[in-house]
Amino acid sequence: MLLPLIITNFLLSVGRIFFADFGLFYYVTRDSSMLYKTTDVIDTYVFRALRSVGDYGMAAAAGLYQSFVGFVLVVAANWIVKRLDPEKSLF
Amino acid sequence: MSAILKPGSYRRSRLTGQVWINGLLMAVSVAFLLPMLLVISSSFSDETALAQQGYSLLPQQFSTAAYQFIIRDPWRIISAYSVTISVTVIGTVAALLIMSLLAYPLSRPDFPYRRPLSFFVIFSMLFNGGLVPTYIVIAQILGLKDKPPVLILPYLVVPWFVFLLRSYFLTLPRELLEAARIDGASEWRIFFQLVIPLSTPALATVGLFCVLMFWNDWWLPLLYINNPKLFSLQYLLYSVMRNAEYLTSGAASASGLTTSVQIPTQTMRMAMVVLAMGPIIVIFLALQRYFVRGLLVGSLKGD
Repeated sequence: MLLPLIITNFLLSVGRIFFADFGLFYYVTRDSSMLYKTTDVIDTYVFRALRSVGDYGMAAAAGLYQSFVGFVLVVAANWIVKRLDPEKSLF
Repeated sequence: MSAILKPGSYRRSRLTGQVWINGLLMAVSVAFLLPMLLVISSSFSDETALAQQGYSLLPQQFSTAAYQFIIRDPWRIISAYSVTISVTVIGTVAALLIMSLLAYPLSRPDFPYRRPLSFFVIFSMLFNGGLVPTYIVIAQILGLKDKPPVLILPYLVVPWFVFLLRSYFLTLPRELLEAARIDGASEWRIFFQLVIPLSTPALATVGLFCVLMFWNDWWLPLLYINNPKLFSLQYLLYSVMRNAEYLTSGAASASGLTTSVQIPTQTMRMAMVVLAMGPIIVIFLALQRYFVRGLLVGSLKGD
């Protein structure tokens, strides 16, 4: 009974796989440059490039990359689900 | 206890199951409550005692210095409160209205543009241009930077909530809507006097999600707000954290200028958290009662 809901949630979170928890990586490290080597994720990189560095092109590319890979993964996962059980796929 | 319970295996497994479930729930609630207790107790502690002995569950050397320090300049927190409350109220009402106005046609099979419209909503959930295009559209094309609507507009339609509402609207009996139409009710009247009152459980659920979403938001002010008058509560917490640190580090380097004022950085931070946390807990408890009751009403009406 819960399976369709689980599959829908799974498909949607597969699309977020390249997104990190921005709040965790931005606030806990307090955006300190000494920690970038280990704690910099794409989200904080994009945010920094946008707000403080002003490197719009690079930020846009990295952000688009995130959503594009997520989109491809959702479509792939949805294709697999459709192969296994056509009624439970998202689209 | 054991006299009442027969040593039948069913009873016993039931009992151990109860013990496990209750023990697990207790452990989880302790895990939620301990940090809160820690924050409250350290907000009432003395700054130096806290620095020497670390955090503890009971206040060490009870003092209200942190609260006094905040009350010395209360306008920042009051304005942050008014921003957050008005954003939450206006945002939740507007978001519920717009999302249900979008979800209702999607639930109607006789709506001609149902497929393209639902594709439009689903697609925005699956793919978007990332942070930069969003920022450019909101800040530069729409020119919403440092304006109050920017705290509400980006969250007005959440695709996931739209589909929640849509699947609830789908469960409403179609005969009811048809009967209303035969009786001569207009579409607006069917929507506002029939669909909306019948959907209170779904609206209450989505409304609660929206309240939490607007109340807890720090992302939009972080991106779009520079004017301190428009800081929301969560963002004020962050900026105070940074400012207090800035002040103490400045005082340490330029000693002699600001030595007369001792800033209780740690305890003040905790006191801010307590002040920001208090009302939402009360609101949540008050709302939760309606929330549970709404769900029950919905389940009973399903016959």
